[in-house]
Amino acid sequence: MIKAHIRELSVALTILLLMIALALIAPGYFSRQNLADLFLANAPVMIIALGMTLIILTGQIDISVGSVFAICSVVAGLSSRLGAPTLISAATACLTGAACGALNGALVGYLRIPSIVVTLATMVALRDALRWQTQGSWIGNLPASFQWMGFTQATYTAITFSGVTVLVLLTAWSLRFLSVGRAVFATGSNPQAARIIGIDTNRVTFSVFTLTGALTGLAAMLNSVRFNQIPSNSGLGLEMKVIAAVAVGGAAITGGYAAILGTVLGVVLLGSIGTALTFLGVSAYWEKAIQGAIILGAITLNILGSHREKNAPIKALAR
Amino acid sequence: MALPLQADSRLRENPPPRALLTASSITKNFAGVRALKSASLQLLQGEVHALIGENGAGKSTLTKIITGAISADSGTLEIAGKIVPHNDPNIARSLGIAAIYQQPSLFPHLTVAENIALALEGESSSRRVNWKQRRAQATDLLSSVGSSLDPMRLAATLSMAEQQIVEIAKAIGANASILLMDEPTALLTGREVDNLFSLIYRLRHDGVGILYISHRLEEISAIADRITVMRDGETIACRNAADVTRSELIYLMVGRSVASIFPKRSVPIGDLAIEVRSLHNPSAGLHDISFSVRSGEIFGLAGLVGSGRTELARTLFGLTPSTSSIEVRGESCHIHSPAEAIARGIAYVPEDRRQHGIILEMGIDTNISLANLSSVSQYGLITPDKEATLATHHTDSLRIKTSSIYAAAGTLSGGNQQKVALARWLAIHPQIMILDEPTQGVDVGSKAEIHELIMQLAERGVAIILISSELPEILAMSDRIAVLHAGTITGILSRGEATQPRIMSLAFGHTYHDTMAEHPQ
Amino acid sequence: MHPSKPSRANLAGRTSFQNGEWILLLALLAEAALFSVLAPGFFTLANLFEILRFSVELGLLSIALTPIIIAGGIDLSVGSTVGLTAVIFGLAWHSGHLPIPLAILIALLIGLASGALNALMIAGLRLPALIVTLGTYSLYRGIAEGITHGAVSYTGFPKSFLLLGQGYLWHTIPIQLTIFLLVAIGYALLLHRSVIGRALYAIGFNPEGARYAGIPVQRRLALVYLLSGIVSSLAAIIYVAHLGLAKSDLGTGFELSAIAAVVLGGTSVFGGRGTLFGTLLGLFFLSILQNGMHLLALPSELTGVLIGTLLLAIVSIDRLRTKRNSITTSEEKRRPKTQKQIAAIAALLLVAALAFIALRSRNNSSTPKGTRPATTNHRPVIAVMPKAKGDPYFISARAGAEEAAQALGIDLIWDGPTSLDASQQNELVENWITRGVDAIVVAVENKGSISTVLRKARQHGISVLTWDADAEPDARDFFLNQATPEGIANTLTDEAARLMPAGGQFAIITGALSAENQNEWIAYIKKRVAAKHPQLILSTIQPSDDDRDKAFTQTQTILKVFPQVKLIMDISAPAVPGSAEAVQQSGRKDVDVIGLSLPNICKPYVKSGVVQTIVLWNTRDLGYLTVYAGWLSSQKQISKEATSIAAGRLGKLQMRGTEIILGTPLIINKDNIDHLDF
Repeated sequence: MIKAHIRELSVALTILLLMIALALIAPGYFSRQNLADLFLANAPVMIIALGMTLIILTGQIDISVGSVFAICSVVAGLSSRLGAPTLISAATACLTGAACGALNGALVGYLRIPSIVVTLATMVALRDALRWQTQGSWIGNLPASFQWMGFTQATYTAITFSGVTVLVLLTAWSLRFLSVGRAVFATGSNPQAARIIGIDTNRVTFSVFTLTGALTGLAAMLNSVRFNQIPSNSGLGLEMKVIAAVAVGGAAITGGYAAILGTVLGVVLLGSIGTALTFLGVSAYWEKAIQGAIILGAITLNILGSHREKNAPIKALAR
Repeated sequence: MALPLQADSRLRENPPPRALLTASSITKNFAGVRALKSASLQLLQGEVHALIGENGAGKSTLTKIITGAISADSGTLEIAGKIVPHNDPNIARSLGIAAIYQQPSLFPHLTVAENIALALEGESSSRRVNWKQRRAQATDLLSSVGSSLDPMRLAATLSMAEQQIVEIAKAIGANASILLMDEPTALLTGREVDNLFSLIYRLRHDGVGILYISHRLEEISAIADRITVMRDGETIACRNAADVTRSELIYLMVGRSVASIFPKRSVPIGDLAIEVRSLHNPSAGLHDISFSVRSGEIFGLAGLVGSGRTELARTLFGLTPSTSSIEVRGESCHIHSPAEAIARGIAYVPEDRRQHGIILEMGIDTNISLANLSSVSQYGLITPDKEATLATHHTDSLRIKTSSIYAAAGTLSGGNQQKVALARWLAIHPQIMILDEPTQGVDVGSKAEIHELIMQLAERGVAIILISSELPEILAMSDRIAVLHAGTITGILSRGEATQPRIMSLAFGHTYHDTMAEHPQ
Repeated sequence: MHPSKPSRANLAGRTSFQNGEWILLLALLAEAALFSVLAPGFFTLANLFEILRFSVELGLLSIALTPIIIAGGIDLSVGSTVGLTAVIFGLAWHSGHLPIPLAILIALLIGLASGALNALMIAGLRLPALIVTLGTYSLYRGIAEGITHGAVSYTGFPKSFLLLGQGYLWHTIPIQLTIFLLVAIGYALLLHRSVIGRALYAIGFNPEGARYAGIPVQRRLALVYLLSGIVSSLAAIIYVAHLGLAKSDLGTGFELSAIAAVVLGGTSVFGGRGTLFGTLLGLFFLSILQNGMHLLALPSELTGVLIGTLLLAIVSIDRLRTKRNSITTSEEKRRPKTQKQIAAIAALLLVAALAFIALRSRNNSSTPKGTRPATTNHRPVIAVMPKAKGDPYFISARAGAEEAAQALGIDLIWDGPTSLDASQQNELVENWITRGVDAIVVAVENKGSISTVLRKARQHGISVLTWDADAEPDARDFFLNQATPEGIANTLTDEAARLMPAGGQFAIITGALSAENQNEWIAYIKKRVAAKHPQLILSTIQPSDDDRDKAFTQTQTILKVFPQVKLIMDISAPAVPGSAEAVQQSGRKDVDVIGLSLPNICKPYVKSGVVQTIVLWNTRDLGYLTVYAGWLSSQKQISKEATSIAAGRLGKLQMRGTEIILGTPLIINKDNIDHLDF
């Protein structure tokens, strides 16, 4: 069991080291308020990372999520300004995201264009299309009920926290206990064999992209309601954050292996480093370098752990 | 152990047996190339029906049409009395068709239990997965095929033979009424093959119709009730197995008679080419291996799959380097990489042709020159003319059937692919050639050509290490035979000593002494 | 062995464009033809060389990436390597006082070292390239920022060195083009003729199979990553010479553009397929598109939209072409070109052409017609460039610029980089010179890098003005001075002192750590604090990357880590609402927010009292002035000796030397914010 989860374990270990350092140097990090703030700031990354885990699990990648995020934010704002209730706005954002995801998914799944090419193209095209249309202006004059979706901040945080928790558990559960989840694993592990046993791999690919689009829309909505106006260029570099979190969490970038637990740990690690370094008194100028070093460290640990797995077939033969 | 088969509904005591599957006048074109001209086949209840033919005859295409992996251009397919106009994998499965393919197609990241379960559980996306039940089911099925594999092992950790066993368990578990087996024994040896055959008899008794594809004619005469022969995309003949001889079958397949299958000729044995003294390689599971091969000698390596034959070859070739030194043509050396092995005149034609032997997407020319680029280049730059000359020379002399030397190697038939793999190593003019299952999955015609080539190489003074699971092949071709068991050599038999029972005895781990005592000539 | 002559039949089937490059070649030709017809000044030798000159840095990275992607890998760190080696080069020359050749050598060695780290982890430890280079992508950029504190940019390189990026052979051929050609030829030989290149293709198709053929897979892979590091550092040196500055943010985003060029050129991201020729075609396709769009004065954002769409279109066509051949077998058989495919290409080009024409008409309807100077009743064209198009500050200035253009009845081209990018500013000015405009008014991102091209514009008889930030004084006619950096810093610091009469700690949230403007302001703020308000203590400086959400998180953290901080000073426009929201959510009534921002996005916070003061000049007026002064200058209606000019509705503006003074910064608070709309 330990061996099977060696990748997750290495990330957990890194987090633990970071936490010990924080507990010794800056115990204020663990204040209730800080943890709540950290959660709200990283909830969007967490939600998108769930979808990204599925995409990476099928052996694909999506680098357009940042652009889709920006579009969904603006769409959510526009629909709210037109007087739509927040739930309708949220649904609109999710649908917009799903539409963008479906575009990616159709091109990757049905036309079989490599996902890095498709999403590189949509990343650039969607971002610039949004810039062109909005000319960079922010969406302001939102109804008062937009912020916190009409709840108080505390209630909203509690609701979102439980919501995201449920979403994480639901994803993990469906991946393990629903046949549709196993189809995702099968598609990433060996697409040809999956087709032989009757799994429509094209549809699986299409679906995970569409789902990730919808999740990106949800994340955009949850991020937007923390404020009372919406910038039109949000989500720059978001794709890198999300992919790094999933990768650090131990997902095999070639598909077939990933765990939601790992992704959660990856998001926790990368989401807390930035603030943690400020707490630890590290100069902001070195933050990016340290983040890069931690990513490299975590993946090296990952692989050192899984090297044993690689040799296993030979051992099995020798028996 | 009880089989989870519902034999009661299928077992009919009274003849005539029902036709489970009827394919008539099936045609199929790929990008203008006719793969099937007119294929017809009838599979009856409770029979083992062998489908044979040279590579490229259309066997695989026909089976793929039956399993719904591809669709036919014309012709009718009737399964269980119903005409199926648009077949697909789900329809085929629901009609009771299961298949075991030549190359195992498992999900490497998933466990054995789940690999079995995925194939058996239908496609309803929101269905719950019961892990406990899956494990129990896998254990049952595996033991029904006589295996004690741990169902929780990851498929990536299985050997090829173990993977094939999982494939068989999958097919058995499907409770199919029609079972397609494409070269199921290619990766199995001895006991495993026997297990499989008894299983096939049991299934046949239960009324399952089995379509059995193989290149091993001795296997077919042992197990088949009827035999359909294909050639050039057409079904040539369908005979009762009892009424037909092997040479007749070969004639039907090839369309001409093939001379002696094993062209063994005696060759003067020369100097010591390679000598291994108590070789240890823990990472490959090898220990205490000693043998030597002289130039002109054909040295057979026998043993069960997993006994360490391929690992020994990989060690000698520097793919899994060991710390032990070996002696190559009188010089003691360590081989750390294939490049070093090549520099010492060692060539290795690997077992897995499609993964390791050739690069499918590359041209025939570039495949042939790949291990010997220095001979077609100057100052590190390749001279296209020299490369073309080299490729043309080998395609001509090995009679590789292709329209152009630039065609991708993957477009060739299995036998021709194997010839390209051989040509690559002939191009380096090796002194020592290791051949790992050189005729596996190769049609009869090419097989004979490859045997002839091996003989010619030996005559030219090349020391040959021949690994084969096909005992008749290894017995007929080898001057001496070393038998491996659990990572070490249990005995080396001379040509005079070697018999099938003795090899099997050594392969199961008996000592040379016991073997010779128990199996007198 | 008796080598036999290759028989004719067996040699058949070798085609020159195996990888479908002809599709791209056709598209490229069509594109060039289209622009020749539509875009003024496109079809000239000078413009051709300009396109090539601006493609060199990106081109080098694309070339370096080609063998990597062919071998089945990827390198996302090339852009960051450019930033790192540029900074090291600048550091070695400037602070280390080393001669230029030695500095170049050190930069190349650093490039080699960064390639070596990638090689070690990918080839040595066999980690997936995508993740490794994602890590080094952060690491290298981070080291560059750490060394320079983001702020330092090295300029003032000797003329002889700058020739490498700005000089011409025989007044026509850019010098760096020769280096580019050498590298391209070297890589073409490596990839297509050499033993190593053959090995790379084999590895790309099947690394295990390559190992079985005796190819030293790890060493070959290590080599391409090492080379990529060296070539990236070479690109960095040329880039520094081209721009005249070395800075930590050089090459940001280059990795994706380079990958786009490689992929467009037909290289398969799965490895094994691709050619260097294809990469060059892809590169020039993108460069020509960008150049043509600028010459047509179409907005920069459209370039991205078109690149994305065309990339998908071209790849889809290639896919549909090969898909039919490979339904069941993984081996793709090459099929001769058929009528259908040609028709598909033609359809694609038609669609593209229609898109252009549609966009063009849209463009023409938004600004009045008649952009060609050849027409008899010539309308002046004033081209105004912001630092970044998406910045709310510049967006509000645009409204003023359009107002002035309307009032004067002249044509306005408003375009600039979509995000801060000194090189793109250069390129746009070059394109405007080619197009032939009457005045160019630039908000300068980097003084050192743009002055050369501005001088060139003046030589072509174009009036050159600068706004927001100045270039070298001899490179422009006039500078529209809205407020000096010192003035802004002093006003902000004085406001802080006014709000904290007893003194105390304050924190600064800046834009990007490498933003030049902001770093200048920070320097003046520190100076002012030391000179006038020693009771103020600067606790920390944190970056917001001009992102509202990041400013929000940074403020939250600052409030917790530095509880004594009583004032947040934001010197990036989107940061003010971010900080304000964070302070508001924290419930801390004792923390004030001031900063440099726009009234419209701060209005709710100013009204609710979270934001005390924002400092700014009237950006709408500034935008108005850019066009008005540009027009006056192009009509030779401003005399250099004048002490004031009449600027339309702005009335009489003071002049100091060649600077036109807009006025003093506005202090915006609760009382006057409702009267301001920008």
